[in-house]
Formats: sequence, structure tokens, C-alpha cells
Amino acid sequence: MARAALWLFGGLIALFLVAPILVVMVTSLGSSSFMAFPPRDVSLHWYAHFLGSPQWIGPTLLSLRLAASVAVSATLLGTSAAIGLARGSFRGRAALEMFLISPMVVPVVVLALGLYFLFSGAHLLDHPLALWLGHTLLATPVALVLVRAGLRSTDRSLERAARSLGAGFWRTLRHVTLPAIRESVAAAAVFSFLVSFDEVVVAIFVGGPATTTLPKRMWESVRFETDPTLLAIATLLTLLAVAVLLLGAWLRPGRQT
Amino acid sequence: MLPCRVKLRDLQEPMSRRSLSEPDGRVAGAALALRGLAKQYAGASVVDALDLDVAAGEFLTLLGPSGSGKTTTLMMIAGFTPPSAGDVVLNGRSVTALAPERRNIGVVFQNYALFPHMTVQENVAFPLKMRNVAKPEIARKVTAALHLVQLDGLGARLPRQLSGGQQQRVALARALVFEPDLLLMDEPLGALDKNLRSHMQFELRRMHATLGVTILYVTHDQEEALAMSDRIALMNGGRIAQLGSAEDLYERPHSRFVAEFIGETNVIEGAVAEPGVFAAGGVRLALPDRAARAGAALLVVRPEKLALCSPADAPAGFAGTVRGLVYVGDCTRYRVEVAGGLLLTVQTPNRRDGRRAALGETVGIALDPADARLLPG
Repeated sequence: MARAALWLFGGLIALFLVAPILVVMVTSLGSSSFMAFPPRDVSLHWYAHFLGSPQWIGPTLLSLRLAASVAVSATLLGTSAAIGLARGSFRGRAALEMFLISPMVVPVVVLALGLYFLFSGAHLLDHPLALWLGHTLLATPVALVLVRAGLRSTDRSLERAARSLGAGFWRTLRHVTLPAIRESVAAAAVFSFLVSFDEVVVAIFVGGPATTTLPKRMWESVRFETDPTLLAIATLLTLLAVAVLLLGAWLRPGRQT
Repeated sequence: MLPCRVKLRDLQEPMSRRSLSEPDGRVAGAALALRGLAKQYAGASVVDALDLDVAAGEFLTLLGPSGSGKTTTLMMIAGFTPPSAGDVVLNGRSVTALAPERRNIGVVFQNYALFPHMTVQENVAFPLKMRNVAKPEIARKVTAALHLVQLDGLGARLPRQLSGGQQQRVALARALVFEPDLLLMDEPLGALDKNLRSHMQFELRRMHATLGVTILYVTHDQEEALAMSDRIALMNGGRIAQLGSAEDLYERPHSRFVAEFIGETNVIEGAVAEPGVFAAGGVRLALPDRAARAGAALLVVRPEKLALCSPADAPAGFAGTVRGLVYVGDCTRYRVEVAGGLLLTVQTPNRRDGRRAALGETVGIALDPADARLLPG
């Protein structure tokens, strides 16, 4: 009896969490220009509309390119910093680590405002470079934390063994350390990509008409029009996120190859 | 001391599995010298001005309880930990300032530290690749090294597809294939079960004899140290408590710590009151060494040097009641309470003609004073 009640309770909570997404997904399958749940018919009308309209495709391509660049830059920076923090021995290491992950805890609005003033002074507003720098700033701590965790769980004697066998610091890094943490580095790249691809606050502050990312375009669409295309995009983004999560699980360390 | 569970095959192994490079298969080992080697962490001394000479081709064991500084010493020799003071000298040349990769020292770690993403073959080839050895040469040496550790044909496996003992052998092959001047081993058999461990002890001795490489071996297992080493440096509190052969340490300990760490021992606290006589409570024993200085002293004697006899034949004070006995197969251990409540352990071989005693029986303890050792108290 108590067990059944627990299942019921858990089921209701799960429904509460998933229901909004399910409503969006189901509604997106209609073809009417008024959003209706349940939809009166089933069609991929708004998906076709999304793929056929330059005002949506442009921001989508920009977001994809931006997220890919951020994945590269944030992973490079985060991995380097993680290795330095994990293997170096110098004063103030703990303080430096706190400083490097601080963008994760500072409110995004505050960061975005700071970036706005910084880039306006440098005449970089509405320039892709500004978005790339801003998103790299947000994604690097995520990459750092992931790779740091990977390094913590790798055995230091592996690197010591490599050194004793004649490999210097760089060759040890290339042949032993990086292969040992490759899952963490891959996860860092995936999550850096997502941080940028989902990001809207910095995009609104430092982006402009020439640099409208997909989330910014969606935000504008919500404010100024009610276009059911949004539902199709939201569904696609949800599916993308699920795909990335599955990819992340597939990349989990310890998986047998 | 070592259980003889190793099959005869291992002992009769012909000494033909040689050939890492020199025609007779011997890798000329280097002499190692530590000069005032010290390490402090946050003001606390972990290794205290260590001086040690290891001869070329010697098998020397650093033995000691955990925290005695033996692993830190090894890490400093390998170059992973910078010493606070002192010098590591290899073949007469100081290597203290050299990075680990420039020292040409092989290291075998307790957890093997095999590269998990490389096959056995790639693991063993790694040090040769780092030295830019030509490919055919690498293939030849890797095959020879895998043969040496009896892993022929397993080169294509990944480390996780091997048993613990096999991984241990790969680690050994990898540390030997580049003909290091010195081989450091940090508790290399610690993770193996007892049977495999004693088997590997013989294997290591055989390889050492075949290759002639200098080995510095770290363990906290005294049986292992006694069974394998040419010499043992017993460490305590960052210093060498005693350096010598297994027999030196067992038969002629310099201190109570050494006597109690190696094997089982009876320690009787007392004093030399008159020349040549040790006295403690009711115990009085004439010593062969009449020169012993008066004052507080310890009498140290191994349980197997003692025997049971009739109370009338025992030296003064060496008679008492059997309070406990343990049958351990080849011998029996008795706990005998003698005068003054002192408990002595007597170990007697289980022979048909041997003297036995029952719990609560009054017995004497026979002792040849030449088997006892007098230490300053």
C-alpha cells in the first residue's frame, strides 16, 4: 500500500517535470497558426517553416558555428588550466582554482553587463568575436571542473611511470595523461558546446542585429510575435539536448571498449 | 621462513633466458650511493640524512613499517620527489638535479601503473620508443623481454585482460627492457595473493641472478625481505636502524626495534648487575660475554632457540607454567609464565622424540646463553 502510494507520488512528480515539454512537443505537430493543445491535425508544417525561413536558419547556423568554436577554445583553456592546477605545485593554487571557476558562480547578468561595457569600449559589440569571447568565459570553468575531476581519478603513478621510462613532461602529457582523461576532455567539449548553444543573456547584451544567435532570436520571437515555429525549434533543441546527454553517458569513463 | 610451495620447475629453470643486450645477457648494474639524503614535509623530517651504498648488481631491500620513510626515499631516487638535502649518486655521477626521464632508472609500482590504453606490447615498447630505438630493434627487444617474464604471445592483450600476476610481469618487462642502471621496486608483490607472491619472489631472484641488474626493493613484509635480499636496510623514523644480511638482522639485531620487527622474539628487561650475569626478577643467566657493561640491559632471544626441559635442568628463573599453546603444524608455540609474571614464547619442532607439555604443566626452559643477545637497556 505504502509502496503504491510512493509510486503514485513519484509518478506525479515525474509527470509535472515532463508535462511542459510533452505539451510543447505535441503542440508543435499542429499546422494552425494559433497554438492549440491538443492540435487539430498532425503535420510537420512548422518544422518545414523553420527549415525554410532564412530568419531562423541564419541564427541557427551562427549558433552552431559559435558553439563549435567555443567548444574548442573552452576545452583547450579548461584542460590546460586543469592540468596546471592538478600537477603543478605552487603557492596560491587553491585560490587560483577558485578564481578560475568563479564565472560559474557570478550571476550571468553581472558578467554580461561587464562584458557589455568592456566590448563597447573596444568597439566589439555586435561582433562574433565578442560572443565567442563571452561564451568562452562562461564555458571554460565548466570544462575546467570536468577535466579536473578526470585528472583526480587518474592514477598519478601512470605519469610517474612514463617519466621513469624516459618520456619528458610533454611526451608524458601526449602519450599518457591525455589518453587517460580523454573521456573527461570529450565531455568538456560537449558541455562547452551546450553552454554556448543555450546561452541567451550574454547574447542579448553583446550581440546585435548582425549577430543574432538562435536563443536570442527565440527570445525576440516570444516578445514580439507568437510564431508556432518556436514550438518546433523548442522540440528540436530538447531532442538535441537528450542526444548530447546520451552521448555523454556513452563517453562515460570505465565503459568497455 | 618461506613456505616452500613453489613447484620444482621454477627452481630447476635453466639460466638460459637471458639476452636483453649483452652477449651473456647481463645488464651491467650501476652502483648507487645516497649521501645525506633528507626530506622534510612542513618541518617534519620524513627521511633523515640517509647514507647508503648499494653495490653494482646487488639486491638491497629497504624494509620498514609504514611511515619509516622507505617509499619517500625511493621517490627521491627515482626523481619524483625533490630531496630537501643530500645527493643521489649513480655510478659515481650525481643525478640529484636530473629529471626522472634522464636518470635511466626502471621503476615497478605497487599498482603496476600499466598504461591502460596500450597493449602489453605497446607498454613494453614505450621506453624504447621514447629513446628513439629503431623499429626492428624495438620488436626484437620487446619479444625478448616478454620471453624473460614468460608472457610470450600475450603482447596483443590489453592490461585489463590480464591477471594481477601477469600485469606484474608486464610492469617488470617494461622496467627492464631499456636496460636501466638501477631497478626500483615499490612493494611490487603487495597486491598478489600469498601463493603467487612466493612464486614471484623466486622469479625475481632468478631474474636478478640472470640479469645482474642492481635492485632496490621496498617492502614492509619482513619475510619477503629475508627471502629475497642480499642485504636489508631496516628503516625506522626516517633513519636506517640496521643494515646487513638477513642473517645479521635476525641473529644479531643491534636494537630492540630490529629484534622485534624481524621475526618473533622474547625481550627480557633487566640489568647486568655483576660482570657476566644478567638478572631480571627471578631470572639469572650467566653470559658468555663477560665484558658486558653493568647497567640496564635487554636480553633478546628467539622462541626457536628455546626448548622445553624439566624444571630442575633450567637456568635460574627459567621454569614456569604453560599458559598457552598453539599447534602450527611443523612446530608448537608455548607461552610460559616464569618467575615475576614474565611470559616467554618457546617454539619447539614437532618431532616424535620431542618434548611436549600440556596447558598448566610446570616446565623448564632450556637456553644456550650463546643464543641470547644482550642489548643496552
